[in-house]
Amino acid sequence: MEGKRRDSGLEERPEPVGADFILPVLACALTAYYLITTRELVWEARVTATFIGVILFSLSAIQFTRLFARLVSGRANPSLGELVANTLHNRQRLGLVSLVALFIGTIEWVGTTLGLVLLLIGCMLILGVRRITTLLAISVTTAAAVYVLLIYLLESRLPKGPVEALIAHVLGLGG
Amino acid sequence: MQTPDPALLDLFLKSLSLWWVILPGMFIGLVVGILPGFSAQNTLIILLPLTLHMGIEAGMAFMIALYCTTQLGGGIPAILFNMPGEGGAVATTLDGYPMTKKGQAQQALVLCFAASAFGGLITTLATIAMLPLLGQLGLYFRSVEMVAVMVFGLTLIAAIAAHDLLKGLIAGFTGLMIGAIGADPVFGTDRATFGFIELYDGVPLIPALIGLFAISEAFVMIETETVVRTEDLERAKEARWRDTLEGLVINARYWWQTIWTSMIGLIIGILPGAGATVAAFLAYHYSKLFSKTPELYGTGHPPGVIAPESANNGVTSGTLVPVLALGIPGGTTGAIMMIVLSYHGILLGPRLFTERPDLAYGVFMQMTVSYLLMTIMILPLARYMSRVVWIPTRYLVPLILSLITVAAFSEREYLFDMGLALFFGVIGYIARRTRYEVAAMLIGVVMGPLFEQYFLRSMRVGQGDFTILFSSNLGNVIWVMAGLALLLPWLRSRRKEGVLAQTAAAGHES
Repeated sequence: MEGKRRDSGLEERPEPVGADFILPVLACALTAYYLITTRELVWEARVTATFIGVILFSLSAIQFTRLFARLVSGRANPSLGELVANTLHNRQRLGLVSLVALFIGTIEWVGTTLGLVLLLIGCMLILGVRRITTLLAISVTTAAAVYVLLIYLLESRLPKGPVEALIAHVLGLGG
Repeated sequence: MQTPDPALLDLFLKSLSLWWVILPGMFIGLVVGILPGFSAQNTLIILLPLTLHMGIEAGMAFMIALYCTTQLGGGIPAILFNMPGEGGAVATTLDGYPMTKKGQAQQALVLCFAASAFGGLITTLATIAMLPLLGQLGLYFRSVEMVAVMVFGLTLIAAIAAHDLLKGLIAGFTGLMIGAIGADPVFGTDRATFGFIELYDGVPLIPALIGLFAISEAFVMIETETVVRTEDLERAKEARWRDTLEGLVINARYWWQTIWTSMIGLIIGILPGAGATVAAFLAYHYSKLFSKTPELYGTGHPPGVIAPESANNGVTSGTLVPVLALGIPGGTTGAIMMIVLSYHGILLGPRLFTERPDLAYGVFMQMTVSYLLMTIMILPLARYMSRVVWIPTRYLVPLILSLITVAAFSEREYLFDMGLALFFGVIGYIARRTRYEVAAMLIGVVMGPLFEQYFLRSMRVGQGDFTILFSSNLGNVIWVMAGLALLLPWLRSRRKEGVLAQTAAAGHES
C-alpha cells in the first residue's frame, strides 16, 4: 500500500495523534493525584496504588515516547483529528451529552417520568425524527413503562415530580 | 468416586418436578441478564425473603435457574448492541457484535444460547462426577496465586481485545487505578475520591459498565442508519428458522471447543473472586491460540462467541463447588446460596456428601434441569430477539440513552451514579475513537478492589517484600503464562509482518 502510494507520487498525510495523548495523560493525572493525596497514609493504604501507578507511568512513558517519535519524524501531527471536528455527528453527540446532563441535573425537580419524556423527545429531535405522533408515542410509552415497572411496582427511589404526584393523587396512592 | 444415594435418576425426576420455580427463575434471570443495571447477586438478595420462605429444594432451584440464565442473558445485548449485560459477556462482544453487523444476529444468538446451555450442562455433569475432588482445587489458590491470576487475566484481556498491546495495557492498568479509588481496606481512609462521598465505597461497577460500553456505543451508533450494515439489512430480514438450525449446526461442529472452554469456566469458577469475566477472556484467548484461523477472530467468527459463552456458564457450577464441598463461598452468589442453605440448617463442607448426598448432588441436578429447560425455552426466541437490531438508530439511541441512564441509578439509588455513567460514557467514547480498549479498562475497574485485597494480603504475609509474589510454584507458572500471553501476540505479529514483507519483496522482484 505504502509502496503503491510512493509509486503514484501521492504523499502520505500525517496522521492526527493528539487524541491518543488524552487517556494516558488523564491516567497519569489520576495516578499523581492518588499518590500525592495519600502520601500521609500508612503503607498498606498506598502499596497497591504505588504498584499499579509505577506500571502505569512506565507504560504511559513508552506510549508518549512512541507518539513523540512519530511527531518528530513528521509521520503524525498533534491535532485531535475527527474527535473534535465540526461534523454533523459530533454536533449530535454534543447535543446528546448536553441533554443527558440536563436530564440528570434537573430530574430532582422535573421527576423521572416527565424528565424521560423530555429527554427522549430531545434526543430524537437531535437525531432527525420530526413526526410529532412518533415523538410522543415513543417517549410517553417508554416513560410510562419505566413508571409502572420501576416506580410503581419495584418502588425504586427514582425522583418523583409533578407527573408522579398527579398520578398518585388521581389513583389515591398517597405519595 | 462416591456413589450418590438416592439414585441420580430419582434426583433428576425430583428436580424436573420443580419446573414451576425453575421457569420463573429463568424468566427473571433472562431479564436481569439483559439489563445492565441489574445483577444476579442483587436480584438474589432482593428476592431472599421469598427464597427463604420456599422449601430448601424449591428455593435452591429458583436461585440456580435465575443465576444460570443471567449469564446467558448478558450475552444478548452484547451481541445485539455491543453492550454486555454482565461482566462475563464482555468477551462475547468481540465476535458477537461483528456477526450482528454482518446480518447474522440470529445465528450469533443461537450460538450464544446453545454454547451457554451446553457448556453449563457439561460442566454441571462434570461437577456431579468429580465434586469432592474439585472442592480441593480452591485450596491451592492463596493470595499470591490470586494476584498472579488477576494480572494474567488483565494481560490476556489487553492482548486479546486491544488492537495495540500497549494501549490495551494502559487501558487495563487505568481501570485498576480507578478500581483502587475509595476507602482503603484496612483503616477505611478515603483515597482519591475527589471529595465525593459517593466514591467512598469505590467506583460502582454498574455505572462504569453502562458508561464505558452502553453510552459510548450509543455515541458511535448514531453514525449508521441501523446497527446492521445497510448492505446486510435485507439479508438479516430474510432470516428464517433454518438460520436457528444453522446456528445449532455450527455449534455442533465446535463441540470439542464447547467442552474444553466450559471446563476453563468450571476451574475459574471454583477460584474465589476470579469469576465469569476472566473465564470468558481466558477461553477466548485459548480458542484463538489453538485455532487454525486466528486472524478471523474479532471479525464475527462463530468460535469467538462459543468460547466465552460456554466458559461464563461453566463458571456457574464452579461457583457452587467451594460452597458445598468446603463451606466457603467464592463470591457473592455463593454467599447468598450459603445463607439459604444455612437458614435451613444444612451443615456445609465435606460431611454434606455423606450426610445429605441428595442435597449436595441435587443442587447440581437442578442446574442440569435448568440448562435443559433453557435449551428448549430460550433457543427459539433468538429469531425474534434478533429483530431488535432492525430498528433505526434514530429511535434506538434515544431509547438506549434514556433507559441506560435510569439503569445507572438502580444499583445504589444515587443520582450521582447517573452522572458517573455519563462521565464514563465520554471516557469510553474517547477510548473507542483512540483504540484504547474499553473492555480492558472495565475489567480493570472490576478487578481493582479484589486485586488490592489479595495484593495487600500477600504484602502483609511477605512483610512488604515484593518477591513474595514469586514465592509459589503454582503462582510462578501463572506468571510465566502471563508473560507468554504478552509475548505470543507480539511474536505472531512480527512473524506476520515478516511474511508480508517477504511476499511484497517477492512480488516486487517478479
